[in-house]
Amino acid sequence: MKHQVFGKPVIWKSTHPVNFMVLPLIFIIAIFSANNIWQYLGILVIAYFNLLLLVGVLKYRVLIIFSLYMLPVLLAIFLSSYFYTISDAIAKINMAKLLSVRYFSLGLFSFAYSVHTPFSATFNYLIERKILPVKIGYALLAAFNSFHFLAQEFGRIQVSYKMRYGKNCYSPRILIALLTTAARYAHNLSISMYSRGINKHKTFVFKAPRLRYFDYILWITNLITMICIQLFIR
Amino acid sequence: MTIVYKIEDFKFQYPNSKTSIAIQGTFNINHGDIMLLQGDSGSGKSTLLLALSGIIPKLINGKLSGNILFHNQNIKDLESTSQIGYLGQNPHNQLVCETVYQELAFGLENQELQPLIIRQKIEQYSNKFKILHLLHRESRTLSGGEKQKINLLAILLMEPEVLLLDEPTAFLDPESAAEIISILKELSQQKTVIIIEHNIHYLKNLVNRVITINQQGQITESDPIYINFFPKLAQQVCKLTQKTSNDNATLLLQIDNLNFTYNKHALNNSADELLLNNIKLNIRPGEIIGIIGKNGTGKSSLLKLISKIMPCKNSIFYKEQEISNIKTTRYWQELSLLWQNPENHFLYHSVSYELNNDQTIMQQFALEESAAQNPYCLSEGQKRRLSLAIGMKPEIQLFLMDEPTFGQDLENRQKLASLIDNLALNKKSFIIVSHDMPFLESITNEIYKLDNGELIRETSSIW
Repeated sequence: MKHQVFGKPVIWKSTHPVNFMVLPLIFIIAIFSANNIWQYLGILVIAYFNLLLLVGVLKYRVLIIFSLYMLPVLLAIFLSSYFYTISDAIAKINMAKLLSVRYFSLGLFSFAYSVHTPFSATFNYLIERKILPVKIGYALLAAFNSFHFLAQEFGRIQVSYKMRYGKNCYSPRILIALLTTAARYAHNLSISMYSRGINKHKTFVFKAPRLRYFDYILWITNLITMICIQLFIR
Repeated sequence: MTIVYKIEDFKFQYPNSKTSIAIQGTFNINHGDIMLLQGDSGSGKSTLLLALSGIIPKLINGKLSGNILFHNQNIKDLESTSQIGYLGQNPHNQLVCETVYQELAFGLENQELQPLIIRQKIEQYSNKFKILHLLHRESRTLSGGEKQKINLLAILLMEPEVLLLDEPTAFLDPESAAEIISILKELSQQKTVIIIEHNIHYLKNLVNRVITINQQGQITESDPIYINFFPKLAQQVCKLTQKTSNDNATLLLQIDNLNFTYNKHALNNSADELLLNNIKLNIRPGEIIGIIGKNGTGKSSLLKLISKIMPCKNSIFYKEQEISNIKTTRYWQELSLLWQNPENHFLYHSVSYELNNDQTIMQQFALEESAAQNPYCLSEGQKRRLSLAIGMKPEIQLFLMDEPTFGQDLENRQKLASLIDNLALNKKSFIIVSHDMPFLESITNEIYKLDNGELIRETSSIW
């Protein structure tokens, strides 16, 4: 066990973090170029299989809840585009359908990728490749890691409010308390980074992975598929 | 003897603050000194530590006068402070990276060491600290005590010449604290160590100098031989009288056969997989119960179950009624939960707003002089008393407290103890989760230890 721990420490999953930046870019361009429902559907299916390939297991529950939350938004988009388009009835319905599906595809796909992106690995990669400066990169990484702590603090503040007043707090006052906590957190963290001698010439115990042929093939295949969808699904 | 630090008439005033912290005269810290820094709340111990680390004035601006020389060079002019290791008070706010391994490597990477050397050092130190099992855990999943261990180890790994430690044992259970102190003792040879610590009994065989700063900034040095490392809190009246008079009183809270695990997939809740196993506890009006136990044994989870923050069925009864059958808002009218961090209770910009300008409560909790102050700017002792005062309503019957003495000096602990004692005499009950045995022993009717999921009555005193 010890050798497994210290011999080859692995923090990078087999998937290269750059894939989580390049693939969404391809899909976003494809979604904005699509002009019928089947094309959107095709892009969503391809994006789904790509995500499955990258992460293995998806958080279906979270995705379903997000989709349900999107329903009223989509309905609003549908109704507003239907009532405020000057055209005949069929054209209006087509326009409303197209817009709703476009927003749904864009929303669902962006959310799915952002939920499954390994942010820590991505930031580490960007820092090591000197794409992000060390100070900014670690600050972003720490900010990302602070979400869990701040969520816990928010829960505690909410509980103490409920105990005090017997009701939930939806006032901005609770956000001020949370902001104070966040400011203190950031201050202490900067002290911690300083006392550990944060240095732009630092070395890295973990080597960033190199892009493999597989990654290039994945991008090219997706690009070709997206072009095919635009050309052949009418 | 090499002089490491020379402090000359140090004075510092935080921005937007009227009060300043001043150390009068000249004062030297030598190589090999292992120094305990003592003083009242607000005397400037933590500020001095920040100044010695160079964080003041590099990261914290303010009005600074006088000099702090590190090896005869003004600390303001030092280009690198890699020889100075600083450990802050709160372990939750110091972790930079996602995993423990990355966290430990972070400081060494900044020292531009080669990956192979970094791995060897991490292996060596993790073995010594017995944290091999934590190495690939995500930092955010660690308990407070585990986080503090990792923070300390991350500093020690960098092998600085000077160690500045601000309450290193505050979040640790007695066993872990003793373990850390023994490692410190081993590693602190050939180093200069300055420690601020309220639990001074851990430091009895460690320190060779004891310095006390008073509110006026005067420094007095005492020989560790003449220091009482086991200061006792005054035994509270309630502890001496309540137990016998209360035996026949009706139960306020009854916990019967409480089993709990975070693992939803645990098969039939077998004993090995349970965080809390067959917990039984009875609390009568006016009773004060203390709960101790190692970090991560489920003490805070027990408080959350009692307070209905986490659901629980058929095991916890409040006034003979099962708590899941009581409406939460009604239950919380009679119950107050005090978080470890008192700031979680603050919502307003002044103490008087927080307490609805209630002069009686302000007087009762010795806060009348700070009525106009911002709650976040109070001393740690005042913050704790304010959080208790905020939860104070006449209908509250049961107080649940998580580490109420964290960051409190002896005087404040004494004040808190007598405050709790007065409330208990008015038939208010308390469940106090703490690592602070002297505090619990001075005040509680009974102390229970949570060990391997079981709640066992603690009969022997470690004190």
